[in-house]
Amino acid sequence: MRREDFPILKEQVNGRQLVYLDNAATTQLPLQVIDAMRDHYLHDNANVHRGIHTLSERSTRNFEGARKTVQRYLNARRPEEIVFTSGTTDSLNTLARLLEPLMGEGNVIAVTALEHHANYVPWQQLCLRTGAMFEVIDLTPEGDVDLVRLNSLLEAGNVKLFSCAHVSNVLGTVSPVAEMARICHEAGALFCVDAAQSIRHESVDVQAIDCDFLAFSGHKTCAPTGIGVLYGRKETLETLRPVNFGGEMVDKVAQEGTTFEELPLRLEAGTPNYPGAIALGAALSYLEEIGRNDIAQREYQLLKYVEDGISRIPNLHVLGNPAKRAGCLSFTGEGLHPFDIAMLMDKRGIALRSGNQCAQPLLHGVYGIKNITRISPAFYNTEEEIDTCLETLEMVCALLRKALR
Amino acid sequence: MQLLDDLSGLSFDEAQDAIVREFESLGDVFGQYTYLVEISALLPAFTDEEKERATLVDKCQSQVWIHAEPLPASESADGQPRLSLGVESDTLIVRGVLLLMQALFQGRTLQEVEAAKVTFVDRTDLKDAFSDERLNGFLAIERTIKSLARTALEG
Repeated sequence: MRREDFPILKEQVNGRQLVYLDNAATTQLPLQVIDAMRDHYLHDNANVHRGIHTLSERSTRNFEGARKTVQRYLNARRPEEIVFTSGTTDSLNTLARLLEPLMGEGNVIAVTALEHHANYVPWQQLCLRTGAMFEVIDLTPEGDVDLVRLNSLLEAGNVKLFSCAHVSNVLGTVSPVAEMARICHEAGALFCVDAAQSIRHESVDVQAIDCDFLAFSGHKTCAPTGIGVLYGRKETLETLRPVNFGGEMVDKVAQEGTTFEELPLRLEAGTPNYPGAIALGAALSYLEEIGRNDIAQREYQLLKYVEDGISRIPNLHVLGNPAKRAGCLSFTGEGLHPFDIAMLMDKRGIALRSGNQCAQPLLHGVYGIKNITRISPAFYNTEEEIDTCLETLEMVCALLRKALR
Repeated sequence: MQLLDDLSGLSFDEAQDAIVREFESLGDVFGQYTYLVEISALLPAFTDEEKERATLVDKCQSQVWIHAEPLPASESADGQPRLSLGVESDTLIVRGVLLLMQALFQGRTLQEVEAAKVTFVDRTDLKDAFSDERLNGFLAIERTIKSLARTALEG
């Protein structure tokens, strides 16, 4: 789908046509986004918000236009609920610091065993700093969040925040975030969604989900790296004291004290990554133009194709069997090291990811393994590419097995 | 494998040149990495006890264990202390590279070890096996071999 928009897909790697199946790590940029960035730097570039001159006004208009595009994409009520950050990790770290004054002994912050380190470590560290208790919700044997355990923790009454990945970057588990929001709010807890892996191919409607916070990264939506979003319900964001200070976020500064801008600027200290935000706006518009449902369906189709194909390769084990899977799957091969698999695949031009996927509590804690290999197609991949990947994978695994001692 | 037999009796640099020539003759990079995987099977596995005694060079995805001790005196024709190197990795590609490093360093005197500079990775397509981060890991392997050799052969 729309491969012609992505020139990098024609790249040759090690003498072979690139087969890029590492989209859960980062997606590629279409010409439309590359052109938007180029146009910005060729015609509009100037620092935003405080300038009177024409280029500053153009950049500001495009930057704030991008904010409205994100608002529309998330179905947020107001643009001031959209805070630009440098990515999901920055969003969640910032949120943890924003919420710090609310946390203390007797409070509980909960995450799940599925989480990427970005949605695990900031909360763990916040608990260490404040004396709040850090709880990790177990998974079912299939790799879904154990909702019984979550309910039981919420019923105990002192959960202040539960934060969960909408889609797992290892198992591909899709969690029922709207249901989670409902039970969190019934228990008086705030609910945060890590939407890094879901933003491109799930319904990410903050009003429908009714989450209090949501974070995602531009580089998983065909935008460049270095830009992301923290969504916060306005009524909640307004009560949080800024944690980064400096230019852009202040109103009046004097020795006696400082007053701050209104939302969202109050939470965006310093010169923002406005070219990145403008590119993000272009990327989200691009995805909308293709059709978000069409993209979602296509990506499900491709992932199912991977899943069906990999089940026919002997001695490979796919992690988890969640009720719903999206975006990626990860596998192990008995006696085979993912480093060897991914390295040999690369020498045939095929880009997979191996390692712990920044999910050590999941891999080590739940599955007792150190590393896995992950395949993550995007809408611009094809069944032919997946065939090439799986045929090569079968050959590579057989070759590696012959060398086992 | 013929290459490993051919290396004995060569100086460190001559042996490295032979390794580079062998890899250049293997053709495409997939063939070179397949070769590494195939020769990795020649490396005897460390027991758990040997892993305990060895030095672990732990860099990211691939673990490397190195053990150095002097060769038995009877195996040194000129009576000089010479290196016996044990190497192990949990990944086959690195195991293959380690086998080549073992072949380069095995039986060398301390003087030869300290003067040696491992260049065959840089001079072949194998450097692509090691990103900048992993190349630092690779340099750590070389440093660890030299440091352990010093301890083993000076005593």
